[in-house]
Amino acid sequence: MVEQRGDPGPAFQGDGDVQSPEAAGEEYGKVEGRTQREIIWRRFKRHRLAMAGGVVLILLYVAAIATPWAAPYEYDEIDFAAFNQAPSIEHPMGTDRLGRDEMTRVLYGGRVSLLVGLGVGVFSTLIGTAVGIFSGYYGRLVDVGMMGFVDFLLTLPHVALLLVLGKLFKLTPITITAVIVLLLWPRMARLVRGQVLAVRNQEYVQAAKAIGVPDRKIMVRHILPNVIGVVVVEATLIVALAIILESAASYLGLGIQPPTPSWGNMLTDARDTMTQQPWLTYFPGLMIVITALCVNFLGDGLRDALDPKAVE
Amino acid sequence: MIAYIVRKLLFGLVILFFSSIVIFGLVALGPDPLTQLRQTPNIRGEDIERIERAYGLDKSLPVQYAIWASGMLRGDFGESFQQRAPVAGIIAPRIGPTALLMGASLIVSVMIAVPFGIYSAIKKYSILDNAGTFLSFLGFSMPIFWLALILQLVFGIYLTSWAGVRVFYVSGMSSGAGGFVDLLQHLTLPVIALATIQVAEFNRFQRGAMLEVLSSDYLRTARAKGLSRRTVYLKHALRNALLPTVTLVALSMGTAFGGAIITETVFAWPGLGLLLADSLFTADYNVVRALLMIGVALVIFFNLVADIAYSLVDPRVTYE
Amino acid sequence: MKMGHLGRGGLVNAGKAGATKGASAGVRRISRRDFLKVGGAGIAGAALLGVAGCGGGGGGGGGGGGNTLIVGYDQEPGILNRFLASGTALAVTSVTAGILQPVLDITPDLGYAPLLCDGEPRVASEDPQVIEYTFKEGLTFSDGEPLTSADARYTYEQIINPDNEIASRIGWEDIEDFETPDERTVRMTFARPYAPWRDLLGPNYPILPRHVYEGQDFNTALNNEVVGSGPFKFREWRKGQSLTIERNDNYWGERPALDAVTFRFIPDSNTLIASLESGEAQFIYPPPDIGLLERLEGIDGSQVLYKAGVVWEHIAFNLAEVDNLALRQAIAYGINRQQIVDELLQGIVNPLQSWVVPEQEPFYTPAWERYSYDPDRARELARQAESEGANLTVRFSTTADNRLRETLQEVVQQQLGDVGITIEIENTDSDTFFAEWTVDGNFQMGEWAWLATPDPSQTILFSQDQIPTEDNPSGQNYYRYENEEVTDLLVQSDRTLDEAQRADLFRWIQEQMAEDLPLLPMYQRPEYYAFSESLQGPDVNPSLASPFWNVGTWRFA
Repeated sequence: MVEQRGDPGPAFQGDGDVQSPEAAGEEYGKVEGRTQREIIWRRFKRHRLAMAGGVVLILLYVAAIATPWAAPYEYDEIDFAAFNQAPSIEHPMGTDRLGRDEMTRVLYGGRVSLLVGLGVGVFSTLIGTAVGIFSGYYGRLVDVGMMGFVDFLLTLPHVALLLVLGKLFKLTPITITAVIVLLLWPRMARLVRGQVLAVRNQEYVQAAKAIGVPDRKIMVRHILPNVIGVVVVEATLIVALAIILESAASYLGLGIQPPTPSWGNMLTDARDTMTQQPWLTYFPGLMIVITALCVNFLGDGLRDALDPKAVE
Repeated sequence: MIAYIVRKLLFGLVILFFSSIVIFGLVALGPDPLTQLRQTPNIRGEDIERIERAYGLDKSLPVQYAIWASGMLRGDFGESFQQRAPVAGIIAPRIGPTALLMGASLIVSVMIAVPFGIYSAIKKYSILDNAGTFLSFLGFSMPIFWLALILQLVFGIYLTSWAGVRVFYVSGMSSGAGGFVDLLQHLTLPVIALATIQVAEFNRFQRGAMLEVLSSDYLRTARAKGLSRRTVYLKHALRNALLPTVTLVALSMGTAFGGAIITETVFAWPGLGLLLADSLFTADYNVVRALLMIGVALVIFFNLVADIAYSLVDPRVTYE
Repeated sequence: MKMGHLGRGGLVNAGKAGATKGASAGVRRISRRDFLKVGGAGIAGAALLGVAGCGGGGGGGGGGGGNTLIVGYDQEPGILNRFLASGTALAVTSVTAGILQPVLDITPDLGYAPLLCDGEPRVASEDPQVIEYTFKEGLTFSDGEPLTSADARYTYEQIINPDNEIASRIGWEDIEDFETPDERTVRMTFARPYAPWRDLLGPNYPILPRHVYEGQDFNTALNNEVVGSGPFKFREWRKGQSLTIERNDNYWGERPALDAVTFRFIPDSNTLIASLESGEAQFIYPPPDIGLLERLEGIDGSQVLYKAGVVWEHIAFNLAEVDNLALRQAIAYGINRQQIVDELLQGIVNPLQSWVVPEQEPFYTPAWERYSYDPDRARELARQAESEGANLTVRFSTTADNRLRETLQEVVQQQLGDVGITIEIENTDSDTFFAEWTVDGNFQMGEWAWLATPDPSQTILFSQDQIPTEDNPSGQNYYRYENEEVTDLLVQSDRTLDEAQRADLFRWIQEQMAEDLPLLPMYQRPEYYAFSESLQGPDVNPSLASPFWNVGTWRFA
């Protein structure tokens, strides 16, 4: 999990030669006339786990959006007549010690956890990609300065920093998202910059430069499309990492604070009574695992599908 | 090469310097370390002032930083507010347990993940490979404290009551009896918890590295020359496929203590991670600062080690 | 008469300093600082309780097998000197309770009992107040040296020495003359009357061996190791793991049955319980989270002991905001306290019926019993309040980091909604709540806890001159409760040394306050221990004496 999945660090990510070692496919086949999009889609479809992961994720997000209408109860609806009930037809995931419906809480918790995941994914990607492209494209002092800063952020231990920052800020979903973004965007920036370096000196970029196309246009038209593959893959990993980091923070008492439910704090709260009411830990725990698993599969599928070196 | 190392070292020092500012500042922004003292009834204002002076808390932040940083250069990490003792003496006994825990889990992980990763790459899309892929992703996706809880429950409680004898302990590092077996009984569960995720990471990584090597031109050439599969794999592929993993393992050592905060807390393992969590919650800031600095220094150091190791093992890599 | 002798702001919220990781339960253990506040308030026997909890330590190590008791404890002390400001965590007293002995012990029923003194201490004179006690014959420290009045004097000198970072000198500063007429007798003469003088002889101030510590720096001498007169002596402290005390073979009293007690520090509450379940520990002192009870009671071969503790929760009204009596009555009748206690605390304690707890005999009277749940009456009163111009929407605030309180809020919100009163919940973190909201009166209805000690005085909470103002920022009458008569009687009760007379005054005050309703008492937080069935001797002591106050008498069956 998060903990020891240390950042592969500056030395590693910087020296492009060891990047995504999985990249090269070894299947050979006929090349047919297809558009890029068709090719990617075809490759992606063949990765069954990724397809399944994608479908489940879509369902999860739909459920999160529909929760206020779909949830059978209110997440803070106390019912003492039905506390600590095992899963049943009225309460498919049982009830907690206040008789609150666990399924409703898992749904609402999912809204928070998935939103944090998505938020972190989007913002880390935007910041990381922008910094990576600028840094890689302009090079020289800009590069040294920006990457120095990125290396510096990558050096700080994640969970430790999360702990320190968690003590400083009021813990709401927004601040948690912000803190996790702060931790994760440098990974993206490093990765993107490496890709940009590889593309920057290609003939078509040089040509565009020579005929006086403005930098901004070159970056958007020529550089961005070339890095989008790595960005998408890394973004999925960041989403998974964010969800797990939130639960880790919750365990240390620095995650999203009750009564707002998140999978992380539900799991943490229920752990002491795990032997008595196992359903209270199993459902939020499983949701975290399933979500992270789906996101990781999706990322794996996208990696295969978007790999420019792969041949069908 | 030497020039490269020197440059890296200098760069590391620069990062260390900036880190020290950020770490000092962040921690200083937190709650007042003397809160506890101030809230003690009837402690006199002059008592608090005296303690503030003793800890240098009466000075401005830049001055405090200068004192702290220059102390660190001399190897003096300051004094713990909670234990009223030098920080270095508090940290030192915690290094061993963390090193032991992380070392054991790294060894276990490498021993499982590397052979399996290579096998997976050679037999790509076989049943075992697919199972490995699935399990790896499962490992990635597991909140470690949940895994730890389940391990405690199953192997600590259920197994003990089922077997009638204690096989594993759920907390601590020793029962006082001492000895290797006792240590092993305490070490096993936290190592499993940590290794599960590391195995997942290393395995995926090793598989990828091996795949890349297998698809490289020189290997195809070797095969074309008619060398046996065995020779090709063992002599040519393996060596090159192990390189990235060596790097990754070295890097993992750098994140060692930051990586064990949760595991150490759950299993009451008396290492650096637990000390960090404790110190944060008791606002023992000099300990927190020292630990964070050590964390940063370790990452920098092992990055360098990884670089050097890489160039030593792989003659193709040169640093200029 | 000593008042307003509180430290800065007089807040007891130990707050973040003692916060716990994974403080999922949002409940906290009391620190000795909270008790000190009580002493600190002089005549005010209460302390304001925040949230947060216990720090923690590592685990493992020490003892094992035979006649050694392994205790699972979720907090590791920083130092062992409980006199010092940095040694006020209850963990400090817990691990040293078998080693250091005070003159008087606090018993589980909140009474004082002689421990080192021969018979009760005597009030030799009332004006000036002179307290005299005699040590038992044949007392020795664990190294065999006798314990004499010279050791008591040494201890006193450490407390008043301005160079020492003593947590609280309240009461001690009023001692004009500290005499030791003979080897066994101590006579303390007070400059001003000091009613809670027994506190000075209690577990906060055990007698230290002069011959061991004389000439050493008191701020460091007892930090890592202590020598005392108790049934156990210090053996080993493996930082981050465990602390072991072993039988003192020179003990002056009956020698303990246990060879040794090892405290293993296990910060994670789940692991703590698991260590009892798996037999790695035979006694645990779990965090006061009621949700754990069912699991603890389900553990084979172990038992759970609990009783109502000394921390009492209540709903407070800010009378400056909620000034309509009918509305407060409607709220009192509309809240089903019995249901709250039954559901949130699994019925193991009863609703509290006063701001004096039943253990504080003979001062207690169940004055709030009249407010038993009556929704019809509540509705009627709410309508009446509305016709009198009161706003039926009330803001209800508490500390955001305490789960049990937040849950209680939600239940109250639901219950009062049924009788036509709208509750709006607005919480903040405990630091802000206690340092700003309560002091500034920035709340309408609040929930927090106070601490009960052997002495029942709460003058600082309810006297009208204790409303916090700029001139008196440390006043703790956050209720803005102004009743001339009650104030007079409170002050009078503090001067009344005759117990029966004082109890009459207290009962009258409680009845009057139940009329005025500045607060609605809720419950006493339960305190509980879980331990192996084969262990005999633990007796729940919720006071600052710690669970290990009588560890010398524990034994395995």
